[in-house]
Amino acid sequence: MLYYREQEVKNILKSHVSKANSILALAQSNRFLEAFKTSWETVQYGSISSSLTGSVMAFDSTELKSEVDMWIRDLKACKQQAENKFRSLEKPTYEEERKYANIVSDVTVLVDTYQDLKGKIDEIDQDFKNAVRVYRAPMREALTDISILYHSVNHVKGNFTGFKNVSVYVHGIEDTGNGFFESVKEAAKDGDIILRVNRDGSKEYYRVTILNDEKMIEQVSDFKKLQDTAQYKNKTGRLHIIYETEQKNEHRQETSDDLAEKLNEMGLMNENTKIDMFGHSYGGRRSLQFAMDYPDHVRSITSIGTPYDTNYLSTMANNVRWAAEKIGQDPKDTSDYLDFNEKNRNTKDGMEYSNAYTDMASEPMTEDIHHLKSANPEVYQKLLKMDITAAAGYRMEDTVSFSPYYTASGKHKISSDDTVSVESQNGEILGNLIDKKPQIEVEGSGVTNPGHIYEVEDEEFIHLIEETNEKQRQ
Amino acid sequence: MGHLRFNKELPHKASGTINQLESAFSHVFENMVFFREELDRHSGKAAAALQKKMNDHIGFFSKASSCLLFFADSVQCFAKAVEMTDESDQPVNISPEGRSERSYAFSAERVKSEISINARSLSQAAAKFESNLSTLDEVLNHFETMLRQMMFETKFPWSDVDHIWPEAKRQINAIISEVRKRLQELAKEADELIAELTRVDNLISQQLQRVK
Repeated sequence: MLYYREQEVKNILKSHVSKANSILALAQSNRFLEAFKTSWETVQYGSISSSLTGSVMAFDSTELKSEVDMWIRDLKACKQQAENKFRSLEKPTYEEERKYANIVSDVTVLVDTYQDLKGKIDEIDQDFKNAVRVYRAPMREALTDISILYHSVNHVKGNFTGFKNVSVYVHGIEDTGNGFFESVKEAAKDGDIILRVNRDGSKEYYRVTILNDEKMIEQVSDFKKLQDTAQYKNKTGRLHIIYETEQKNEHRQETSDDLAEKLNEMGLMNENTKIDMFGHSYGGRRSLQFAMDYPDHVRSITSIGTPYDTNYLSTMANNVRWAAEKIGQDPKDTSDYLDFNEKNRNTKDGMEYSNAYTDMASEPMTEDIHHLKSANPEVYQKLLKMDITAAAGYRMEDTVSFSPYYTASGKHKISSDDTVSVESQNGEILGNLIDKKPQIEVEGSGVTNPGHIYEVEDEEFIHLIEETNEKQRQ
Repeated sequence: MGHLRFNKELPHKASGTINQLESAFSHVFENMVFFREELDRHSGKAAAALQKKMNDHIGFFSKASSCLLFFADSVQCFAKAVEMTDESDQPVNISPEGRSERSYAFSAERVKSEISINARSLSQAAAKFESNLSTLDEVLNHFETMLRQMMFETKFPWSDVDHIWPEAKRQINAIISEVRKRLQELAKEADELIAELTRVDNLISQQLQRVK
């Protein structure tokens, strides 16, 4: 140290070292202890004497950092006070000048040291975050399974217990439930209820009535009012749930876990209720994941536009994220989900994450199904028995001839919906899991106006929804 | 990251208890599936009533054991990952045994396909049943203590898990109480069940001898 440490600073450091030791005694973390010890080599006051003898590790890195911020404020206040005092002196003595200079130099070095310590806390915190984020999903899954069992043993009812036929509609990436809402309004029958579960957690209720061949879809202001409707009281119609994911580009596992939690809360995860899943685009993978996790509750899956194998556009978006962001995509949008499969990950500011884009950049879905086949052949058999329809949208294009000898006329079918190949949408990679592979001509005019976005509201697909809902009824 | 709190001794303590419980659960579960198969061979009123009860117990034990073990194993792996991250800055990735593996381990259909029924196996199973029940009861005590420690001393750093945690703790306790209740029921019914099975088995043996 090239300066003398003044008493004012010593007093502050005395309280800091004591606070640091008590925080570390509570945290019982080796890495935080090492970080503080290293910083204290520069602080050069007192010592970090805390030991790791306790058995409970407990810390909150945000609290740790705000504590260090408080220390920085203490020091800056001390400096400010010294400055004010110094400036108020008309003719400062040499000692006074010296004291002021000592405090300024000391505080500058100490603040830098504390800032550096905050950086180290961040680094350790990020390591902890990356290490433990992966366990959040199994923990939630276990707790949801326990809750489903608890509800079953104790006959706990939810707001929608009693509905036997339930359809759940799941959208794809960069999307909302609006498209499905329009199609469901078309496909719904007399006595049905439409429930929208929105991204912000709010719910919208609609009842369907057909009078003199005229269909009426009437919004009901809240659940209390819905309870008074005949559709709710009778429970003979179908409950259509338009489910909007909490994060638009979240991973299929996150959707499955959220959905299970919500359906259980609604009283729909029981042996009397059968769920028919409908998915558009990545929503098909999300639906299949839910069926893999809860095969006893799912009766059928119908998807369209779903990339069941690696998708080129998503791989590009995952690899060149800035370019994807320029065209309005959000490849970094993610929930707190992290996959155990390291291939299904990317990083954002040091934080590892998994989302729909990382999922479609390789074959983790197929790998998961292959794994399931050996890990639990019974579930795989249930999937085989389940009615799974993987519809594919395609577009027609004018045939252009480049031959000087003849002029081509008419139209030809292209092998994709401008976003996903027909082969991928038909789930060829899933082998005999898929029962039906219908192909539907959709609107659109190319990459800038892809057929993919017209699939959900396509008349033929709406007809497929109607047909499925009619067939899958108990 | 939010608040994190856990007992550093947990991973070491938990691993042994989880293995013990898995084994104890498996034995009792196998016995139950075996007895149900035996009961299938008889159509009397008593057997039908016992079979209904047994089906219910099997369904419950299959789900309860797989989800309790999946939960405990996930917490154990989480704690191990925190411990290892605290030791070095190297990335860690310890996977808990998957949910599908766990549920398959406690699948009545899988167990059923692996058992063969004969007079000797019945008497062996009957003889072991009560001791398996008391072993499970004993291991469940350790498991319960461990779970209480897990629940009391663990705070997860994710707000959504933290949000459901208090209710989840209550439900975990309720499931364990239900396991205990059913174990007591099974212990009470064991004599009745074994007597019925032995009677049916003797009956079938006599019929077979007559046919010969």
